[in-house]
Amino acid sequence: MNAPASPGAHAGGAEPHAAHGHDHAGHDEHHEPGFFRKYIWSHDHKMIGKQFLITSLVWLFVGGGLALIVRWQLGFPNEPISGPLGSLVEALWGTRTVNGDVYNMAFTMHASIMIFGVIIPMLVGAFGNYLTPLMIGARDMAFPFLNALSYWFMWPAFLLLTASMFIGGASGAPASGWTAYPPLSYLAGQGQTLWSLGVFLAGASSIMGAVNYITTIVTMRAPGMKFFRMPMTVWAIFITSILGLLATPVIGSAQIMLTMDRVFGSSFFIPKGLVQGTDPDLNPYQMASGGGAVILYQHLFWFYSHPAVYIMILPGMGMVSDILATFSRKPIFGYRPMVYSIGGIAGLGFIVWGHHMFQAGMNPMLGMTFMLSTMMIALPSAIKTFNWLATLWRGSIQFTVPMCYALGFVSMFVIGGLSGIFMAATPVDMHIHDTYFIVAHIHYVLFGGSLFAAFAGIYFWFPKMFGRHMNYKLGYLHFAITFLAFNGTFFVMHLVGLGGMHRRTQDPYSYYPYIESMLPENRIMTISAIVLGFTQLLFVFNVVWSMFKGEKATQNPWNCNSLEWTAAPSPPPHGNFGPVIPTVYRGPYEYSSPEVAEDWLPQNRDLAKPAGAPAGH
Amino acid sequence: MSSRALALRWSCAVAVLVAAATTALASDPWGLFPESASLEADRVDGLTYLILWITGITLVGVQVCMLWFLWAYRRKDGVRAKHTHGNHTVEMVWTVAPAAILVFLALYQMGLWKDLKSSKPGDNENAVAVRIYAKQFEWMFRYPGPDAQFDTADDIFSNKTLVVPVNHPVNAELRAMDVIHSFYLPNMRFKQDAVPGLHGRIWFRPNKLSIDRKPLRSSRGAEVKVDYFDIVCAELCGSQHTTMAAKLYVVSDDEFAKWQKGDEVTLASGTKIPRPSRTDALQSPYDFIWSTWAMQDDLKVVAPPKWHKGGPFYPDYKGDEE
Repeated sequence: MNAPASPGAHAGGAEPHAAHGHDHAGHDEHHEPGFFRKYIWSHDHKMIGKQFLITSLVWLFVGGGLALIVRWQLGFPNEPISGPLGSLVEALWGTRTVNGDVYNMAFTMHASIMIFGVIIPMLVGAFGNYLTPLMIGARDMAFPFLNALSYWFMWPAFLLLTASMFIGGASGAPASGWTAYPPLSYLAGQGQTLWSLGVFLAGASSIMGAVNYITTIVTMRAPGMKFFRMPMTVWAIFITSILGLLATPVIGSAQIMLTMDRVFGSSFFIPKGLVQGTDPDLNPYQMASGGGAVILYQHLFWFYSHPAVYIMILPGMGMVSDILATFSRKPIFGYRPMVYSIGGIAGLGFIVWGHHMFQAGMNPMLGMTFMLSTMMIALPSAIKTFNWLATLWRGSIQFTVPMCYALGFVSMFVIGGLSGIFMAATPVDMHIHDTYFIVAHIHYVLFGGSLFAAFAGIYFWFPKMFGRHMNYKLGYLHFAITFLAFNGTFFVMHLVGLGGMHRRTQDPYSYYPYIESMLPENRIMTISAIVLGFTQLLFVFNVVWSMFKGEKATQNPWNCNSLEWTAAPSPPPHGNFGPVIPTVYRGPYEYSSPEVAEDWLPQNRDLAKPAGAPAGH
Repeated sequence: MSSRALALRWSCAVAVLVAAATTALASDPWGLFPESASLEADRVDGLTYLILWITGITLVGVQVCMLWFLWAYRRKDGVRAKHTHGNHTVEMVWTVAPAAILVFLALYQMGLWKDLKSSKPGDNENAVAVRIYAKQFEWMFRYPGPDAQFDTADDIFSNKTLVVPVNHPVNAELRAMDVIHSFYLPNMRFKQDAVPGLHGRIWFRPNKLSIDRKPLRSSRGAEVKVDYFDIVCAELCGSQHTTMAAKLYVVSDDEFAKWQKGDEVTLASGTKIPRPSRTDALQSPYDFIWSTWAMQDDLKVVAPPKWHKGGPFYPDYKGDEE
């Protein structure tokens, strides 16, 4: 009846397809779906997850290319960009040297694309979609149609963000930073409106996804899958979805209000007395009606965008927890404290947004309360780190490629977490706010954290997704270069940031002699960034090649306990499991349990049955 | 123990203490920051170093511990991992200990934050008043002039050059005329956004003449003598954001008085500080065309420019009063 949902080979335990589909009435059961229904307008959570994965990988390169434009200008100021990147920039924006407009556009779109088009769709969209039903023992998401919509709402967002870069040339592109603070964004060219609408649609997609994850996890868990038997990945997706559901509408409102200000002349964010005119003799003034508050936008923006940082890191923490336990062959240390600390991060995450505005003219008293809450949010992250370390303690550690990335995640996330304490300290923040220190911090969290976790996840679940292994020799090479080049790029940023090099400036060397002395450091960062960028081609080659030519994978190559490995073949068919939904008897981390001879004990194995009986059936 | 060995031991101890004390007393022993030019900068640096020590020890501890585990517990044939789900006592320890450190840090810095933001310096009588205007892509500074009142005919103006006397608190009002800018003095560790619609009250107190600033090293290794402190716009404000630099000259009381009178002041380095003007440079029609946006409130206090033909810029202009 249903074909496997991927072009990959149907290896491992192919289940008899009889009796499948009691709870699937109405689905296209007895015929092969056509190409369109299978690959484009698919309602299968696995295909939608893969769609999210592939599109976010494509966008990773667009965002990375934009970052290289920025790094080029900072490493080789006012020199024409060499190589194919230079030709591309010239073809698109008509200049090989990075002027103020191109520079501002590049860092604005780099951040926007990486956040709204890569990290969130990859961690929440791809892994959330692919793993949630498989891990909790459901046949699909609660609302498959809504799920397809949540993917296809990303496309208008992608198209709008792309168009925004070219409408009106470089000077018409969004160039107000990914934060898009008015009045600068209010004054910006037409691209800014497209940007706002693109972000709005990406937000709509997130909300649809969040509703779906929450409903699926609450209502569709397999028999015996209690909340506290769920893998950490599912916990992380669950709590992330609650964050996304509550916070995303706020940035949606902020973007609509900004668009209203820009297009219809409302004044949500524009204070009294700000007057627009183009030529004093022609007197075409439009007076803003006033009454708006510039800082209101910042509150709305960060009320979403601070929780968004946790939306981007929590799924990574969940996946890394699973991978660390698997390859330490040990239960995750402190399962409940790990769950509670995710909850703690999410809860505190809603009351720390003001720390982005310590120097924005906000009342200093208010700054103190946000400082206290921000200090405290370091606590759950510390607890998680100590538990990860304790998971390694007395384990039997296998250094597979996903394990290397998971360890890299822990190591880099510690740096990103600790550097946050500097900025939480309001007096220190006065100096390092808006400098490269914050750029270093965010990249240690979002690249060293989220993206390393995403790499770990791709190497780990690739055999399940496509039924084939990735090439692990290339994988180790990819990890080694990425790890070194990443630190070469971003660690140095801490130092130039403390030295007072402010961010988002195209040519600080010509105007600030104290920054000119930091040019050698910047050149090191740029060269590292170029290496970092090109190394990712290795990864993409590996993904594409392995999809078709990789070594075939068995059902459970890592001897993992959770349901996606123990109860579903690689790749899983439509409907995920055989005729019967697996029954869950224990938590997902019973590695090296004294109850059995082997060092793993599947969640769905009934120990009352004689050993060797097929698990869960 | 022989007296000689004792003496050696004691002198070693003293040497270590002296080294520790000088490290602790020097505000920036590792040269991480731009040269300090105010007492507040030293205090901020001290706090930064405290956090650096706490986080640095944590960082090294975690990474070393992790590498040790990776080495000691790598997979070995026949060795099974320990089956444990956790330990309540250690969870308590590593929850309470970081919490105590974080709460300590939070409380410890509150005093400094209050001094930096919420209160004015004690000897306010000697304070210098200045109003700072930020617009795309220029800083302008307005002094109240001899009558000590802003918005009167004797106000003096200075473009891209802020001159203040050393060891006096500077009380400034920060205004933005078009978009958000940020007034950043790296040498004072001072930063505050200039926000349209808000009049930010800020203060700083330089304790070093800008002429005494240590030479910088250029990227090619040459010594560069700079006789001013940098004023940086730290908030993205448009396509020419990077050019929005200004100079802060910290001078002696005499030089400041001379400069305010409109006399030329020449520093020991040979630099002639640009003289202030009596008229607001923002009046020129050029500025209106150049900067398509302007805060009406900030403009109507000055006389309308000669080209003025009426219109919404000065709807209720009635002379010099606000």
